[in-house]
Amino acid sequence: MIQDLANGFITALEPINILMIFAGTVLGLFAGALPGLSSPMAIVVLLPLTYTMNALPALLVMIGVYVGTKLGGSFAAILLRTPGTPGAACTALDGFPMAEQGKAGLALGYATVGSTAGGVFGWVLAIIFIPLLSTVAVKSSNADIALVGIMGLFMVSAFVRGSMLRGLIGVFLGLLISTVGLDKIDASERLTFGNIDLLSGVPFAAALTGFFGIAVVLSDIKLIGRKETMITDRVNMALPRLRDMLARWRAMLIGAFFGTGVGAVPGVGAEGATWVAYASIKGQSKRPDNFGKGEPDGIVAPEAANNATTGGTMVPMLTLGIPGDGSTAVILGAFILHGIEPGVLLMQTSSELVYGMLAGLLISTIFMFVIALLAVRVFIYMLQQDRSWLFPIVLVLACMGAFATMGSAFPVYVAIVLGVVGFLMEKVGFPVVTVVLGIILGPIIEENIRLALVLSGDDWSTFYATWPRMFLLTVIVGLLSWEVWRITHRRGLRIGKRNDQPIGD
Amino acid sequence: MGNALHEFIAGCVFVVIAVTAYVSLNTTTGVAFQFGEQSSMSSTTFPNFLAIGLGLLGGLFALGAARRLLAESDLGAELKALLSGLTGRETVIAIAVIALLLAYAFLLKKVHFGLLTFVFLAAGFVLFGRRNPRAIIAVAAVGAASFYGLFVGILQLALNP
Repeated sequence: MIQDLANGFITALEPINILMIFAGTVLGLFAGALPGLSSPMAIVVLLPLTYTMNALPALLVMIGVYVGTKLGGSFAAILLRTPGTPGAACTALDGFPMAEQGKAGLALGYATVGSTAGGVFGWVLAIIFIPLLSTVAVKSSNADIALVGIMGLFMVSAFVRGSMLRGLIGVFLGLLISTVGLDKIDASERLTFGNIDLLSGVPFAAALTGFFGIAVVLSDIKLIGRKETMITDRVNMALPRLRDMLARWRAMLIGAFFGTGVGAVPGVGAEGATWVAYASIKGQSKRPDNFGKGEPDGIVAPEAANNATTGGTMVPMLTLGIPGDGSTAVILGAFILHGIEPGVLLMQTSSELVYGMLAGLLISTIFMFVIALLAVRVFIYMLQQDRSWLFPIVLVLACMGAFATMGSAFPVYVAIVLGVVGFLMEKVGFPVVTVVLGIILGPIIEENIRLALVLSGDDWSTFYATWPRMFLLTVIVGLLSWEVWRITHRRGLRIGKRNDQPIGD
Repeated sequence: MGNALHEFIAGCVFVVIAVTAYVSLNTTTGVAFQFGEQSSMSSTTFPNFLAIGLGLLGGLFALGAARRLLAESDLGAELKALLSGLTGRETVIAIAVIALLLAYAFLLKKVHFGLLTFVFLAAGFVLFGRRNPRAIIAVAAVGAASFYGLFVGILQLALNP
């Protein structure tokens, strides 16, 4: 493993790769700093630019964006009280009050150091767990792979914001979209409605650019004309003293631990991990009353958690082919677009690529620290600029991302339609990431279910024939039962509340 | 619950999608090649299961929203809010952006890519609230030239008529 990792670093440190990591990290910091531009959106707009590249540099630039947006989001959270990304929302609780006290530079410093520490911690755990998990995963049969995929979708539905019912509807819609086109096994037409262009299925890049590009721009129309007021426009990064940071080891460790652990659960992502880390450090603090008033631990812990998720989400993505959040879903999509099949065999078939990516993850975290330190004023300047100049440019890039897959206008139409669908779904509270995950995992699940049935002589009991499969089924049933209990319990509470109301009220 | 009407409509739309998919899957006639032994799971089993599942979940969602709508919400106020939302400024801009995107897709490969992108960017800037004509023209021209250089010059996409 150490040899593979060393080779990964040698590859990642090649000039083109290092340039891609650097460019991606800078772009990520910009995208994260601007409220309204999300990490998946920033990665999606890169798709058309990376088609002609080799797989590793293409993926490294995306990894750079993924890492950069995590810290960039906290700049806006601290200085505007508007988080640049959902994962930075928690940072605003103490970051903004600290900035109000005239210590904006120090707040940015705590965020930068916390993010870097969390990123490195998450990377170390990813390096330990990815090879371990992949040696187990590679022994999986078709039934195991299908069940892992199904469990991943149930977990995403359960932990994504909103109810599990909304998540499941998104997943089912995504899975249904993934079945459009010619069936891989018997070549029969499915859901093409006589359209020849749909025979090869819904273009994957069109789905990504639609859901994460066009839909986001349409949602951001509400931001038109909104003027952000900065707490102060004269900010210099002030790194906390080493002794001060060492004294905050608990906040860093808790944040990094939850970021990696909770972040590795598909669907929870950075947003969930940061809130869990914040609640935990507040609960253990000797000064819980200081939280919400500019407590440094309230910045360090969530920021460490936020960046530790970059390592955590890599574990299910690289070993099982299950993305943990929207950004990793797009990165996984980039695997497919570059002809690499994600899943349990990835470490066997493309270990050089995987270790190159992991090396790039650490290099990007270091770049993030250095760039933030040296160029924080540039990002603060960008914070004050109007985003309306960017949206038409994002739309052109989204259209080109779709166009380049087939060289025709058809995928652009598909991207527009899916963009409108995504926009409307988000408006009613359906997280579109569930649809995208359904589209990614659909073919893997269906193919493996069918192969498992063929290999077992059409015996459905193969799906609970071993202990690991029983465990996976138990998790799925457990998640469903939990949701049913939640709905009935909530309804019970509501009825109870109504009965408690005085007559005539 | 403020969005009960929206949720009810969304649930109904999912049911319609599911029914359309189910009907399409079970009425399309085509050639299916059979390789090896027939499995109990054919090419339509999985999508059929998904269509039924989506229909049931969508129905459940619509039902829940309908119950809330009848029990807790003021239907008249919800309808009024829905109508005012449909004619609001944001909706009008969103529709204009979608129309602009459709026109862009339609004219790709029919009109010179650089020119088309210039017009698209300029119109987009206006829609997104920019009002300074000089700045709009300058940024749109630089943007269009950059995109032309990138996609036609470097990436060599066949974008021109």
